[in-house]
Amino acid sequence: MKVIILKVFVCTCRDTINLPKDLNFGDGIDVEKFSNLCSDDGIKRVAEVVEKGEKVVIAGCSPRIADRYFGEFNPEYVNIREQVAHIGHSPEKINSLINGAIQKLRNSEDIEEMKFEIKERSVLVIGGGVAGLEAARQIANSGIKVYLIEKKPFLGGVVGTLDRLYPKGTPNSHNLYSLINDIAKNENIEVITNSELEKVGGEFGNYNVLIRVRGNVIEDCDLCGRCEEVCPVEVEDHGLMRKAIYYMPTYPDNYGIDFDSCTKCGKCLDVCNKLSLGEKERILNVGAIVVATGLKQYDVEKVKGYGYKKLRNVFTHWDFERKFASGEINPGKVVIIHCAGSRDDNHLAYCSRICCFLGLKEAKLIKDVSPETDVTVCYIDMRSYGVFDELYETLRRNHGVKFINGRPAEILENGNKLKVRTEDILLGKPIELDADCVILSTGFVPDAETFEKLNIKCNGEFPTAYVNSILSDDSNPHGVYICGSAAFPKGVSETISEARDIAMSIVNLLNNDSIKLKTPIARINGKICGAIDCRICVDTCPYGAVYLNEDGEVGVNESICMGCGICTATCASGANQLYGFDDRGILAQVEATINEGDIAAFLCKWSSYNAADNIAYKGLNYPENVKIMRIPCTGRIDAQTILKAFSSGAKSVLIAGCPPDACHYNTGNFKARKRVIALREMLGQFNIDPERLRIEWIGNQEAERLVRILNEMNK
Amino acid sequence: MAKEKLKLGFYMGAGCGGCDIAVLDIHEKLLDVIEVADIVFWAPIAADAKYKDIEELPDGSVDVGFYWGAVRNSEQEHMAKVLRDKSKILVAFGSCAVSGGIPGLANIANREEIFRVVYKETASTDNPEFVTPQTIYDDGGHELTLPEFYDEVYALDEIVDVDIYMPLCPPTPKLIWTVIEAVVSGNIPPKGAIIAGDKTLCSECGRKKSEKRRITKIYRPHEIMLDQERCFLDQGVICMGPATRAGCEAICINANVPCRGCMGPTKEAFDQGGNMLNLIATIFGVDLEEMTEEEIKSLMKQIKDPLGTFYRFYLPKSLLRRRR
Repeated sequence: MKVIILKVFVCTCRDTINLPKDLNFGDGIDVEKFSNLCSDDGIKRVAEVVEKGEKVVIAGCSPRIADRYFGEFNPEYVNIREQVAHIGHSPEKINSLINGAIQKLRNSEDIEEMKFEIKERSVLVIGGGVAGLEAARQIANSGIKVYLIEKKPFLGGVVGTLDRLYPKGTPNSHNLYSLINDIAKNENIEVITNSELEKVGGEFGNYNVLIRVRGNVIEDCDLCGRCEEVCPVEVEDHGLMRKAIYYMPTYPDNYGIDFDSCTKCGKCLDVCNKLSLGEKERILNVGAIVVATGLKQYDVEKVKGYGYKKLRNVFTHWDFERKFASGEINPGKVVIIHCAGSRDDNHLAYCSRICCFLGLKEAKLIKDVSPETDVTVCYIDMRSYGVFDELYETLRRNHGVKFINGRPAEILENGNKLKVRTEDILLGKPIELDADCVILSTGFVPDAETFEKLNIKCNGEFPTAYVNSILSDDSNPHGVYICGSAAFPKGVSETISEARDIAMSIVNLLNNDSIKLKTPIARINGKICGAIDCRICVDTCPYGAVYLNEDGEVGVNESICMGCGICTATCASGANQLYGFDDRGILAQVEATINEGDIAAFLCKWSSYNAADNIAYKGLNYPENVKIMRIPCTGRIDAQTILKAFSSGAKSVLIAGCPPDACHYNTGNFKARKRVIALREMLGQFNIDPERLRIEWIGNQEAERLVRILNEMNK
Repeated sequence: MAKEKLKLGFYMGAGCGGCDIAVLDIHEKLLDVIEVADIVFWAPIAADAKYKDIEELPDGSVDVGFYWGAVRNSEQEHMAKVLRDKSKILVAFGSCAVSGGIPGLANIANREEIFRVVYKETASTDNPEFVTPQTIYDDGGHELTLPEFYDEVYALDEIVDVDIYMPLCPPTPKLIWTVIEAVVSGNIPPKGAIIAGDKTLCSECGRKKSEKRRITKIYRPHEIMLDQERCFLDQGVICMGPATRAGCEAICINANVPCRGCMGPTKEAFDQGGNMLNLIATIFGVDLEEMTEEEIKSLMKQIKDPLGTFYRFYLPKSLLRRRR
């Protein structure tokens, strides 16, 4: 058997913590007492011990603070300041808490340090819109090589096809052209147009990416335009007709082929011997990946009553902007419908956030170009927040745009014109509006294909759970960054600042020779879980880190495992273990910590554990028999752990974590809730009152509520 | 002189006799066994032996003792101890000896409740004075005794030291032969060995699993036409496979019957029933993770007897062991 040497450091926090008379943990476990372990001497001493390969227990202040000094050593923390001394509990309690920590360490696998070499100091940016362009520019400016791939023949993305930007109606050329020129002249950036991501392998620091490149870029194209003349394929591109081979004033500066509509008839090759219709594959080796694939308009044809593509002169905002700006149409009376297909359970249930601005922007464009045009906007709620509200006020006050609160039910043909039927909520009656042209301000969906190839789970929706701007930064797996509207619809200015943030993170990441991680990681015991096993844990990982390998076995991608333990708690066979929070370790901790009549409180380190600390700071208190165990996520706690607490004598068990929808690991608390409620249904058969097992959502400032709950559970 | 024959002994405690039949199921191979081994006793079913005769055997004189059935009265406890003393190697044979088995489910009740049901409340019982078995009865100067019925059911290793564990209800002829062959050849497994696979039962099951494992409604096997190709869990039928050891070669599953867990948990799992309930609860629901308490409860209520379903063969060795 492996000999595990353990050392217990006990810090009295400048003699403010009373220790029990006897600090003896048996067979050769040394106890070293300090009055300030966070001093340089203390830290040095812990480092020495860890260096020798010993495991350490640190009893002292809350790990919230201690982690600052000792985090890299992966100790087992025992919080004897906030959770014993400061709340006036008996020093004797310290013994059982330290014992629990010792047993947990003794029965846990070592957390091995993982070293990821940063082999490739280069970045793949997927998508040549504003997000991708800005990220590429910033990263390249710091000296890192960037491959910028774009599936269309030209850079520019959505903004490249539009005329103006909200809130002021700024022509997009204000920023787009200079951005593109910066990209084009930057020697650190290789732009690869007409190319798509096929497959990604490897891990951060060392991804190998297979891309498919179609056609070619003609270096010395003289823009004679004969290829476009002979091309027989006409397609609609956001409201305007063009050929399958066309020119767009962004980059590269040549005619390019839209291979999604090209029939490969070869007529263009007859007039130009520089063109190619060939395809080739390329492998790129990069250290990090930026996904800036942007968004797509919701297919508003599905909203039957609006007759999109059936009625003439019903357009989406993008179609309209392109047609209007190019002078193709000049209507006298326009109705703009907000939330076309948005905030509607039959279509997009969510608010796409930017479409109110886009509708208002079109109104401003019309009024700027053609002030005599009559413009009416139908809306449910005007979500033009913050500084953007100026746009709404300007249109209303200065430009005479009419606003009607109500979502139109249908658009009808009325001779050459259109009739919009809507309710005016403020008048409280149905009304009809005549229009030459109706603009549908639709919501957005992501360009989700790329996410699947990157194993980012989002079911075709925006990967909100994955994106670090929504949660804290450490819930984003290392190395793959989602930027701009690919994450959720954003305006240009927000996109640019996000692209800069991400560039900063990537530069920081790639400026290391290697990244060392010593964090709990889930691992699969191949002796228990084989090639055709149940695989249920695979789907429970919020990050796609648990996967099926080529042999059909379950594996864990170490570089993106965040250590939540949701998969470990799922596994019914013990094959899946979160090292550092192993089943054996937690069960041993529970057994050593819990005495007859105790209350076992498993508190999530991201939320309720901090609430427990706050109880001390607020001068409150809870019963002495409450034994708190710190867990990475409520999703790590399985029925086995709870049953162990009861069998060790606990009279009640509390599992408390982050508020619903706000789990640090996305879904851990919901899974915990299902497990706990299911277990409660069975506890009655064991003659244990189900009320003795509770699951609660407790934010870090909710100390009073935690106290109340603990008191209730002590009754 | 011919090599001395091995001595084997068999004893049944609180069991059903299925393990006796299982041994006979090795068919003519039994003749091979008898070729090299003497069956010293096979109590109480197959070979006649008085307890006194067994008790008088020298300690350690039986090479391998097989005990099947759980331990739930004083007679069984006594014989388990006798068998332990007499045997060089003691095998806990079948789920009941390993982990309490079906009799182990009695741990959700106690002696008083069991007596009340068995000797009073069953429809066919007429016992107005509620006469129950007594350990000593004085019949006109003759003292009659009965073994004491215990309040709870024990697995064999809670009573005596066990060398080899053979789970399954009952063990398959193939596994029985593996053990006998090992004993005969002198290739005895190390102490504490479990004659079973290390992996989960799923590793022996060829059924197709869906990508997204979800349960939205739970069926009992008779309530649904079971697809022979698809994983039971994907069909809403509780199959203990993921929480159960391999080794039986998925015999039930191949007969289109879900696993009931008689092999017990793998070596790194510490509460078969809790683990299975946990796994099932994890895949409750459709796409959205969030379910209301009512939704979760209503799914759980579709499992008629959760404790009996999840701990069918394992209750005395589970973390809680018995009703509180």
